[in-house]
Amino acid sequence: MSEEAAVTTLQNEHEMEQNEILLLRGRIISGMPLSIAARKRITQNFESMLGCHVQMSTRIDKKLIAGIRVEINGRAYDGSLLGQLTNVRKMLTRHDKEEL
Amino acid sequence: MEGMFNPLSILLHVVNAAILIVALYFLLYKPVRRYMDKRSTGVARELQDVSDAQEKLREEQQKAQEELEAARKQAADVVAKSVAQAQEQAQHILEEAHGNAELTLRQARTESEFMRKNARDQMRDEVAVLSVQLAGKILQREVKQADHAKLVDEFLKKVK
Repeated sequence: MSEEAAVTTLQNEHEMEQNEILLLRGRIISGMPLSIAARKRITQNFESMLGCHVQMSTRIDKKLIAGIRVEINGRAYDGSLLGQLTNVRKMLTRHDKEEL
Repeated sequence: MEGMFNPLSILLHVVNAAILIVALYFLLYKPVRRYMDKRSTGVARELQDVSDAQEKLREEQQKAQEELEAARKQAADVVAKSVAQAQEQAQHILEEAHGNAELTLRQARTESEFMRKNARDQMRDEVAVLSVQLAGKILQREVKQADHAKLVDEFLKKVK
């Protein structure tokens, strides 16, 4: 293969890779029903953060009490009351151990 | 009467007597004397032997007595040494036991302190968990949609 042909092939592969990661699928878990506007805002927020298109599915989990938890791109972003309570609990128990 | 004092007869009797005496001297007196001397010498030698044996016995008795004394002294020394050693060992054992007892006590105290702290930690953890659970239940009851929307806004601000 000539040099020019090799470079073109590499460029095409790069474009294909970019196309493949241009759409990310995520999940919004909410403690209470979410409005469409709120869902849209969340999606847009993550799109600007991640720099690609995002497709979100939603689910209600009353265990979260209130707030949301977003799972996307292998990470979880927890803004729920349950998450905050869990942090408080961890802080209380860890703090006790540190005291010792 | 004339026959009574015959000088020849007297002479003969004297010679006879002399011969007898000489014969007796050589045949009886000297051997007997020799025998008696020999016997005296033998007896004297035996007496000397007995005396020597007695002296030797006395010496050996003395030596045995001294050895007995020395053995008694040595035995007394050994006994004294053994007693001292036993006392030292007993003291050592006592000190070791004392040390062990202290160590055991210290270990028990440390363990008890650890268990106490452990129990306290567990209790604190349980209290923390229960408190959080209770807070969750209360929040579930009290939280409204407006609070939920506020939480979503705060989340979006943080995530930007």
